Amino acid sequence: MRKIRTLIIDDEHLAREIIRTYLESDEDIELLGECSDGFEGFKQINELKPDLVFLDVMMPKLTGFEMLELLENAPVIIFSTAHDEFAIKAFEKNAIDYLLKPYSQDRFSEAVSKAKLKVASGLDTVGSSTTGLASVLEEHYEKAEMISRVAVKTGTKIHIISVDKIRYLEAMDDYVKLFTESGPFIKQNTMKYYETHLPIDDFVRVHRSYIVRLKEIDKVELMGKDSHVVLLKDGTQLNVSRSGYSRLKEVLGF
Amino acid sequence: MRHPILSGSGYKLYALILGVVMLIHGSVLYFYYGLTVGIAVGDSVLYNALYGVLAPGLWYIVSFASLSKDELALAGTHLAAALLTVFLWTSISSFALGLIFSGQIEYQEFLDDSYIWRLIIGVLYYSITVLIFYLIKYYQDMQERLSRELELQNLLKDSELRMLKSQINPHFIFNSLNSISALTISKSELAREMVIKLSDFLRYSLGKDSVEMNTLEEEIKNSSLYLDIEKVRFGSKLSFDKEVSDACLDVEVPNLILQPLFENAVKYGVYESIDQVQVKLKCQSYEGMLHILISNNFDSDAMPLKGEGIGLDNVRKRLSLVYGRNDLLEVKQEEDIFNVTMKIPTNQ
Repeated sequence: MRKIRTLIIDDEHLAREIIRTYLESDEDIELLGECSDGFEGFKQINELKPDLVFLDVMMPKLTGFEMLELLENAPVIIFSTAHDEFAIKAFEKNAIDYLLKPYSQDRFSEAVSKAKLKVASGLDTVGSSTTGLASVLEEHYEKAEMISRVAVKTGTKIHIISVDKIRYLEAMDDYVKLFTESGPFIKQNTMKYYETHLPIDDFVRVHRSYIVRLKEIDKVELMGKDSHVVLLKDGTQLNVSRSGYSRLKEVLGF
Repeated sequence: MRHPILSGSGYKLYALILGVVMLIHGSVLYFYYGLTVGIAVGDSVLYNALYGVLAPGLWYIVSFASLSKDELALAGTHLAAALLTVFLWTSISSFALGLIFSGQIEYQEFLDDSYIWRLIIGVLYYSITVLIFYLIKYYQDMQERLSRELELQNLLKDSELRMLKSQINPHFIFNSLNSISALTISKSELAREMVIKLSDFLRYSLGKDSVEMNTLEEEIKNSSLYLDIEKVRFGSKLSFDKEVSDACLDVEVPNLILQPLFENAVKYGVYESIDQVQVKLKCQSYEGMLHILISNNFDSDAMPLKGEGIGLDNVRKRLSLVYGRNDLLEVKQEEDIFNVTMKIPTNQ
């Protein structure tokens, strides 16, 4: 059997050391390397294409989740963190297991066994096996915390955009185009996600395809019979749906 | 409610006032009306002493009547009480005086003439007594309310302080334990050292509930433990320098007031940066104030995930609760340096 090519991403050297030590006795594992932040992790995953990644969540500048969102072909992920509150989100991101620091060798081996099965089955890890969790995730969305930043990439370069810099968002099939002060960025995500995770006081969904920052709106105009558009301060014109118009009426109070 | 005459030492003042009234009363009878000394003294003492016995009872009317909010009922109560008191008092004293000095024709006439005046004076006495009782009652009520309010405030302050006191971040503990777990593999010596540091830190942070103040020296020692532990986790990414003048060490500060500031520096400095972060502590004492400066550099590109300043806000609230001032914590950001200055009044 081919060895499982493995990468460790954690900002604490001792946390990496313990994973390395636990892995040493496992003949099936080939350790490719260790990364101490999300940027390096992103780069290494794209270059080395590992089968399995041990991933910390809280790391400087870019969290494990944000890094994962940027990957086109995610490897099998085992999260390793001291935070228990991310467990649901971890499984939403197709994590095979979620290790809470500190963990025993036995618990660790259990996770590795699951990962081996998954790698051996050779399934595409993205977009599989999430259907069973749909209702849980839906609930998770409902009470989701507001986001304050979005990680995007252009080519292989990662940008962290503050939510304050987003002017409006446009739906593009499986992607969302974020229009910011420093230009547009494309991010794989849903409008539903942004509708529920952007600060509700600052943004309004005016159309199936558009979410707009309220402060960017210059005026709302009637366009033909029964239909409206919003004009942004830079002259951009966006369509407004019937329900979008009533939402606008509500938040702008006209 | 405390009786102003019967309980405590109020009766002394009451007796004195009664004595003065008797003296004036007797003098008027003797000098102005030309009555004999015996009669003047007898009239004055008996007449006023009887009122002196009746008056303390009026306190109960005042206490009882002030409970009802109905003004008409209040007026009615006092009218009835006044009539009853004055009538009883004047009648009994006049009757008794008439009996005692039955041989004195002139005095009998005077007694008959003065009956109406005695009634009028009686109403006046009644009014003054009740007025004074009301004043005393208001004063007592106010005192009680004040002390109750103070008690409530202290209670509130206590619970608020307990809530605001730095709470140990569980992730810090679990991450530290994970580091220890790693150290046991190859560096057991270091693992033991870290266990001891973590224990000392936890003992200090968890056990200081009842004590409200600690010396700055103890506080710095505790936060140094915390930073030592974080240094084991983050290695050379974290460095800590301190510059504390000896005069500061014995100053008393609210317990665990420094800790949230250091945690803040580590959270927004070390946790969010890839490069080295230097945490600095500087303490000086002048102008009756302890000046504590905690600074750290941070990565200005990093966008913190969650809103800043809950820790700082808590420290500010605690300082204002303990010292009653809102200007003791100052936060300044200069490019990539974050400065927090805390002032602690030392002249207490």
